Amino acid sequence: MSAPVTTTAHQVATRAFDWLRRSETYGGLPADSTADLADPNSDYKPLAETALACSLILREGVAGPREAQTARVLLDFAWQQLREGDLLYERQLRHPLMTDPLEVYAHFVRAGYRHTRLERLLKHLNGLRSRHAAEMMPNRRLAVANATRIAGFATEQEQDWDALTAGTWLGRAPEPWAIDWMTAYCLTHTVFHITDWGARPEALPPSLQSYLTTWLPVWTDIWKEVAQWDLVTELLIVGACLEEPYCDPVVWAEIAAEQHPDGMLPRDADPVSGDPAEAFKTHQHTTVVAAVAGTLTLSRTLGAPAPAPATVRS
Amino acid sequence: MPVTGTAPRAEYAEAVEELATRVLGALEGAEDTGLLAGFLRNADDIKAALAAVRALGADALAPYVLRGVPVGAEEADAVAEAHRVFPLVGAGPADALVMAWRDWATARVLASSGRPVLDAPQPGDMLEEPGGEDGTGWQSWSVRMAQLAPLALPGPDGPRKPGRPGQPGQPSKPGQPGKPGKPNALAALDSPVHEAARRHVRALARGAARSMLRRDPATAAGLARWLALVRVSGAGSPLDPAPLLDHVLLFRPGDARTALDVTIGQWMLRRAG
Repeated sequence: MSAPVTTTAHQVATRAFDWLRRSETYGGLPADSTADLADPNSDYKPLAETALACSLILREGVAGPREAQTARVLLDFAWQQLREGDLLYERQLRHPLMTDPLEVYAHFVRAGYRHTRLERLLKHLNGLRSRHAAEMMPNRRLAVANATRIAGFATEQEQDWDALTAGTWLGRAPEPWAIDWMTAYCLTHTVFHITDWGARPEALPPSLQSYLTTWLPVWTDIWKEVAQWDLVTELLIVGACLEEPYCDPVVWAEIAAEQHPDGMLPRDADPVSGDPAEAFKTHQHTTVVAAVAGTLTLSRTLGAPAPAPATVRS
Repeated sequence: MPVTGTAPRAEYAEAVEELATRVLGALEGAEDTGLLAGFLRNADDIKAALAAVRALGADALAPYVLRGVPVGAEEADAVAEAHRVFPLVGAGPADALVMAWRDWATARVLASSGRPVLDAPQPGDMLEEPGGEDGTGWQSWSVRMAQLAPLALPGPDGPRKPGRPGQPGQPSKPGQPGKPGKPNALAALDSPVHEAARRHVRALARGAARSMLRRDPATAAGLARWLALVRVSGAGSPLDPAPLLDHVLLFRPGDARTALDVTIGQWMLRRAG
């Protein structure tokens, strides 16, 4: 009999946040970074993801004092790496159609940080047709919409969420057996942004709630079988974003078993590098995902009535 | 020796493919009232041929059942011989139960045709079904249901709809004075297994999607066949079996056993209109 999901999720999140403290050592931007960012995926994106995870743990309010303190320390660190927002401002000014400054800024807004000039710039850009017409993946469009919503540049009603959702793979409720690894990530991100990382489960249309309830168990099962821990844990976040959360204790138990004692969750079954800097680079994303999944699952299942015991069919 | 039907010994696999090809031919083309007897008569390896008849189970009789054509005495004898040479032996209790249900289906089809040559009573046990609100155990249950695909065999009028009066094996037309009643080869199979299928449509659908994604088209075909039967019986299904059946066929070109499941599934969907 697996441990209750709440306990497992809490443990996974606590350990993951503990490991993420090493962001201060391994997760900074190179000292000579400019707003052009030679390799945004290697430092900038991980920094943003750490900020996201920390903003969520503070938002949910279920963290113990140690995790809450870690979150604040890491957010301050990340904000300082971004020169208190100046780097985001310069980047957005130089590259008006790039959406990452807004997306990254939104995580800081969620945690209470503001940058006045950046906001003025973002509000101005939000009024440009070009900005809205720029071509991008449908789930990226949803990311922008959510970030716009969080940062307060548009109200709920000013954005056509139905149209944005209809443009995604998930929005069509397709054949669940005609999915691939990349599409699964499109799906997870679609749910993250529509629901603002589980803050608004009701924002997901009922037909998609029921579609996901039916098919999430299949996708977690098959990708678990090939040790795709990163994707499986993202699917668990999706589960926590539903109005009736899908939190399979068996899947959670496996994730907890895969998590290293120091809190790192490996991306997959490949051997983990012994070099801490390299291990950080490779597995930081998955550990962030574990921290988020654990936090949201803890939050959604806390205070939920105990599940009815399984009845035996005669 | 264990004969579970979905994993015959390597040396019999060829015979299974050959028989499945002939059954497919009979389904798609001209009638052949001596298909099984002819298959055994012309076999180079009679043991492999008998194993193939045993492995296909009720599906070997599909051309008769779907067309409503009575099963002849020679055909029934061919099946009986296959069961005599290969008695039921399962690799484990679950395998044995699957075989026992498959054998019941074969016996039922023969009895409905007035050929009660097989003694294979309806098993008292059932597979352990998915439980709880989340349907825990759907993975293993769905794999077993795929092995039970030969039970998803409709009559010429389609599958038995739940709640319809009538019992399998009863004559469809009462006997005229002085004449025996017409044997009912037309009765679609129905049983607690079919009831379980209707109860756990979501588990069937999950199993079908899972097996496709695991590149296991044989299991997917068996489950899509159940989904076709359930859908045509009037139950809803979260998965449309039609594109799945088409996809399985393309995925495994040349695999007659899988094609047989697909063809029967498609036959059911066509009858539903």
